[in-house]
Amino acid sequence: MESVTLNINGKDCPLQVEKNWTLLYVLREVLDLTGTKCGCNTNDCGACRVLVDGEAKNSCCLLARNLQGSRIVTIEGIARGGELHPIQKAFIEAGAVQCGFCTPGMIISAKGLLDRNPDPTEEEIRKALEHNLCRCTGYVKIVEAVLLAAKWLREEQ
Amino acid sequence: MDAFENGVLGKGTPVLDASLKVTGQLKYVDDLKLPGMLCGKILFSPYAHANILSVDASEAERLEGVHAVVWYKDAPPTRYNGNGEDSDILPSELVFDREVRYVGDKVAGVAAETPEIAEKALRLIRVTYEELPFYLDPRDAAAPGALALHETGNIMEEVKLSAGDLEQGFAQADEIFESEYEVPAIYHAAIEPHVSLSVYGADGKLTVYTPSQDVFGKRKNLAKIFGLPMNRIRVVSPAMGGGFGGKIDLVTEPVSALLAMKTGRPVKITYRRSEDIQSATTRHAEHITVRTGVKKSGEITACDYTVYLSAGAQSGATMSVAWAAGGKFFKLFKIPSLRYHAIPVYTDRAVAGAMRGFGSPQLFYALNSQFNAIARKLNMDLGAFENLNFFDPNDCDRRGEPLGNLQIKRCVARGMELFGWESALREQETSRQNPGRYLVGAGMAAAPHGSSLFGVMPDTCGVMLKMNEDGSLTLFTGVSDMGNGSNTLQLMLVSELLGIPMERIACVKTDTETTMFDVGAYASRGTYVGGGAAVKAAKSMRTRILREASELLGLPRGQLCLRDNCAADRNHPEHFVTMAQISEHAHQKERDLCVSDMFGTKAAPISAGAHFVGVLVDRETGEVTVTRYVAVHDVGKPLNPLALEGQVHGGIQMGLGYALSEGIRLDEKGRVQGTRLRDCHLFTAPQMPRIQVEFLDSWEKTGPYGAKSVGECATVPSAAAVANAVSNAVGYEFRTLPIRKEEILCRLKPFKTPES
Repeated sequence: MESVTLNINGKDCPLQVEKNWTLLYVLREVLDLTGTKCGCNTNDCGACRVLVDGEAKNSCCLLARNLQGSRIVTIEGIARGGELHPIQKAFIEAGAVQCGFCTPGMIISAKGLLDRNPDPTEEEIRKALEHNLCRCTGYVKIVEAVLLAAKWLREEQ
Repeated sequence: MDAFENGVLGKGTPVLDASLKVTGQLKYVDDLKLPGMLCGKILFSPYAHANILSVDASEAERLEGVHAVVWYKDAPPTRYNGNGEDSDILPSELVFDREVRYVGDKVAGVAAETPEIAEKALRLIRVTYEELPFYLDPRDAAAPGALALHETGNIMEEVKLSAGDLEQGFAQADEIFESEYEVPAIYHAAIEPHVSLSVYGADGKLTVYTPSQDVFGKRKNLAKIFGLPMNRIRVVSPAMGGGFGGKIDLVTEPVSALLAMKTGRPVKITYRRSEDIQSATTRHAEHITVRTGVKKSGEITACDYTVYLSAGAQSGATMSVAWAAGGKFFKLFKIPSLRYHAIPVYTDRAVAGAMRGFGSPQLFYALNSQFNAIARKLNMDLGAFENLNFFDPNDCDRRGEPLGNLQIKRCVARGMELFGWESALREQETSRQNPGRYLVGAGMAAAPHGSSLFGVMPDTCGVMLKMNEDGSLTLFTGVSDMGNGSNTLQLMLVSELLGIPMERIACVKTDTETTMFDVGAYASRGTYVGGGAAVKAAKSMRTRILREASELLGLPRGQLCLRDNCAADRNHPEHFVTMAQISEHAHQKERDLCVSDMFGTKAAPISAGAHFVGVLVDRETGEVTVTRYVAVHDVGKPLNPLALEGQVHGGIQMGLGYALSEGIRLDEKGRVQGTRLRDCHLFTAPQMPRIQVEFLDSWEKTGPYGAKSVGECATVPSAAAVANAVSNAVGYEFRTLPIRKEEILCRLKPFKTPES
């Protein structure tokens, strides 16, 4: 076991971790942040995506002990206090949610994209979701949701 | 009462639990933790077929943190069929058997305090095997002299269905076409892997939490396996991260239940993705032969269809798939003489089961492919050719089964219009005459699907409604929602009929202990049957509410309407009582507003879809780009457009993969090649074409508010349409799915980019 402090959703979490513990394992099994899903554990599906210093990454492939000092945002940290984030609202409104298992990872990828590119083209959105697999929606309404969220976020500015 | 008075129906409505899903708060089974919970793991067979001669688990059992190791000696002796619908047909499976029948078959199970300990324990179990001959192709397994996988022999039960006089039909034909098709097993690839959490209480009650499309079927099977009465088994599906047919059959449940009973501790088994790919159920791999006779006019006179289904190691849903596809064979084309012959055969590979379309994507791929080739030979366009042979609305099929208001002709006509079919065909022709680097292709396909299990088995669903003291409502339903919106639609129907807003209706679902019986998420029956039951229960509740309101307002019931959470005078809406007052009044009079009702099917109306696809085929690399896609469906009256569109989009994603990239490949030893999700080659967001979906404004008189099904129909014509587009672009009829780029390159004339 070694000590590491992870900054998760704006809060410092001092932890004892094994060398081989992934961030996904720590989130789900140690911190009970089960919104981040395990779909493959092999860097293929994107259900476990989190933001690490603003960039969407698969938490199944990150070792927790290497993340001291990084700012980590999980799906539980996306809402604004008690209110849903516009990306979350757009996913609901556009009908982008079916079974919901890929949804947290999709929203994280969308957040990573929109934070750096507030006005993406449809192609850029599809590209940003390339590493998120969905078996329910054909991605159509997910892409529509991200476009809608981008519009709402720009209107907030 | 069939008009949309309250504006709930017809309006795009997100799934009920969407806000829990977008915040990550919805608890799926793998998110659940119980005090004292152990981790269960399974040891899988490395051989395609073998006898287990011995198991020595002594070292594993001695490992600290291991609570139980189980194998064939611990398994109950009752053979079962893990598919709920077919649970009484050819029960072949044991929780653990002395014989393993595919690479990935269950050999032993371990319950331990951590996943690491459980995995270490698996490595300590010593198993000696005696390898046996194995068969990966159903035709080999069906050959005389093949070693039987099960006592009943390798051929399960052949299905033979026919109509008309086949010989006469072929005699009337001007030309006869015969071709063979090969389709692979497909992995469902729900993003949530299989998982179950079993608890065996001190009261002798087994509770199993599992993402399930069929909680009642699973309870029935678990009762049979463990010899427990059903009142001592509770199966609950709290949430499901995708199903597509893959979460109908028992997979991990019998093992977690056995381990829970053995240890007295809760046991959770979550499949790793590689285990899920290797050992969960699949779509049936099939070998299909189609022989069709046609007149020069394009009229089909006879069609003879023979299919070998690769059932995999156990019986599962195979017999139902064989029968169901047989039924569909008769449902679209008014061909006067037809024969369907299915030969379902055990093979040494993972169990094939239900998957979206239930045998129909294979069937309609083969038919639409051959018809595409025939149309070209007759110098007709496929749309016109099929149109000549389609049934009309309210026809009966050639075996006398009514089709309902089947609008396939309108689907095709509208699809052609939206797609610009004529000009797409001209573009294709130009591309063929003057080929550049990219060949342009356009393809279409049409298919039907049912809306319930009517005609196959009794198909019922019960719904209970309870009005709470404040006038809010709780709906209890056994209908499994995979994320497709079946429960959402039930609430919409209740809300529409009772004038109670959606947010004031709670949904208790898929819990064998609290909800009425439902057949399970088979046969695209969510809207038709689950919705039908919601309407019936809501109508009962409506009568009860109107009685209270009529007393309170002193008006006859016929003069009242239910809207905006009130009952009001139709002519003087300012004269009303709230649902809370109604509920309170009922309690004052010592009455409780609680109803239960059920819907039993009296018809199996046929839905339909026509898909149109544009592709570009790269002559240099063989790669296919799907450029655009139009899908037109007849779903009766569209009740929730948002959910309907989502169903079709998802169905198309599956069809694209089926046609071009997916398919489980086995090596010569029967081992799955590629057990990571990336190896399954699901279509990703950038690969998806632009999709345009439209629904006819139609009406099915036996359905809830005119509706019928969509879920499976969404995917049934898809692969066929894509394959036809590729075949048309290349000018060669591909008869094997998926159509990989290597295959395309073989069929293309060599092409080099001109030197610039």
